[in-house]
Amino acid sequence: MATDYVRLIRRIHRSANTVEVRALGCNESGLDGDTAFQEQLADLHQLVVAELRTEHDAPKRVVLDLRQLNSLSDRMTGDLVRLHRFLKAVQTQLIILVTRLPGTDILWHSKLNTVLTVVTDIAVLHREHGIELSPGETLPPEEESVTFTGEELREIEAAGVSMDDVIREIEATMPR
Amino acid sequence: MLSDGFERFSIQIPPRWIDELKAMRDEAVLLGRAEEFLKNLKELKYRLSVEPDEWGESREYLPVLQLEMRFGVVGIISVWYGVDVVRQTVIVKSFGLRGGLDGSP
Repeated sequence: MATDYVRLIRRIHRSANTVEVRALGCNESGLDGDTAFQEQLADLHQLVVAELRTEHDAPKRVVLDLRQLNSLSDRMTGDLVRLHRFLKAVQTQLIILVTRLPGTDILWHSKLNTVLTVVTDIAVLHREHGIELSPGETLPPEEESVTFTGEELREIEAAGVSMDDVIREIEATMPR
Repeated sequence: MLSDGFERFSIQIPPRWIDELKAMRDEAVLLGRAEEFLKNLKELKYRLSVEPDEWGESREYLPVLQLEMRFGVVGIISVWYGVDVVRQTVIVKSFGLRGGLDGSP
């Protein structure tokens, strides 16, 4: 089942040792929802693996905010279970925040809510898990209005920063 | 990729984006995608300097500033930019790391 999809936004809250991940409903990748979801979860997996390779501890919790999704396919729930298993193996709890709708009811019908930590209410997330989510982005790019002011343009022109300057700087400071 | 001799447009970038792009690069490093990030950035430079008025999606025209606002994506990097075809200039509004920590589009 193709699902209207999804871009994941991640934030790492190091002080709370929590990774917050928010799914937005948009599709800039041209992929179907299931495939894009799988790719994004794979990125999240890589992020946690990368954290494990650094001096940081694995995040204690990953909060996956799926409230903007109105349906979950079998394949997506399978991906969630795989992510849960991986995270559990590195002592990280996966918390899924989701709105209970006919399209997402699969989590309850399949009794996955007894395996995964599924929360439907942001107040419960705060009360039981002590997690305060960041104010969220809600607009996919195609709904944004992006513009300049005349003053902004004059400042940019006066600064004279070129793309070559940026690339040189990025290359010069690339970690070895 | 074509050489500088084919460039039609000059590109101007808000200075703050040097540091912002470094932060995005650091995130790409964390994800093991630093090389991809740099490659995408170089391709972006090519797109914006050679074909900014054809590449990406046109989103809005700002008549007073005579700028066409466009949105484009190369790999893991997205960019909002304005094109002034008369002055052959591209002005970058913002960059984003797709699915990135910063939340930008």
